[in-house]
Amino acid sequence: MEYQTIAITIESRIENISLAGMVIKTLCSAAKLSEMDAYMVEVSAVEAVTNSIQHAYANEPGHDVQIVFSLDAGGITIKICDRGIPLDPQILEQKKMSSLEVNPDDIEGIPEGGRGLAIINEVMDRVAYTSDQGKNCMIMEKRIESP
Amino acid sequence: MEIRKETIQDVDVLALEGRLDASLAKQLKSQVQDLIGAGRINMVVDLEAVDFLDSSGLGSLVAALRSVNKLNGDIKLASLQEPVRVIIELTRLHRVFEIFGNAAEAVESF
Repeated sequence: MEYQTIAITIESRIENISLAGMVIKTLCSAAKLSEMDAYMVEVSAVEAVTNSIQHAYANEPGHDVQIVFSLDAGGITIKICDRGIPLDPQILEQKKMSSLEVNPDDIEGIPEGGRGLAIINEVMDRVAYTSDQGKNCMIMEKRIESP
Repeated sequence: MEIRKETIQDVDVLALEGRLDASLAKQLKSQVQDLIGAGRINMVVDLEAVDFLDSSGLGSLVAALRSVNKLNGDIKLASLQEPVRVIIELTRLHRVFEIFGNAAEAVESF
């Protein structure tokens, strides 16, 4: 199957998250996704980039976050990689299962964070996380619906 | 990315512009804490010019709401663009925040 791939690298600074997001948005516009699906891919990629910067590198600048965007006839694959602290597989599983439900009568009980992985799992068709020889990658796929 | 503040009928309206991701979220949290420090607890966050919202942005809105809620204040949201509305609904936070079509309506509701 023919495919197109582009890789970009950003430094681990939160100011660079917007830049990465805008590039991903432009790349998504090249795929035959609905406007809303393209937006969901953009959000998921930004969540993974933010996770690499804030958790893998603990907000320390000077490290690389790699974004690999691949497009083929079946859909889009985005891989976000870092060489920081890997996600704990147990936490990853818990977050995957965590609910986005909230209790509006208990404002204090609503968590400030922890929605990123739940959003990714909700909106992407396939999500995987690998950690090998110090390189951690979040791999996310969105399939293109046939007309 | 910027935040403009205007006070209308004793309610502070924070008009955000750009992408509400981790970077702008940090600015929003800091501005809300400054307002709370000055005794201001009723706010409207106007999202008319925000075309991107992620979990960091949502986290800053939740943190702001929790802070003012402890002081019997409130934070209401106004003018959501479609992608922003979808993320708020996906994360069920439309059940927590009061949402209005525009900032003037949100101010009037206090």
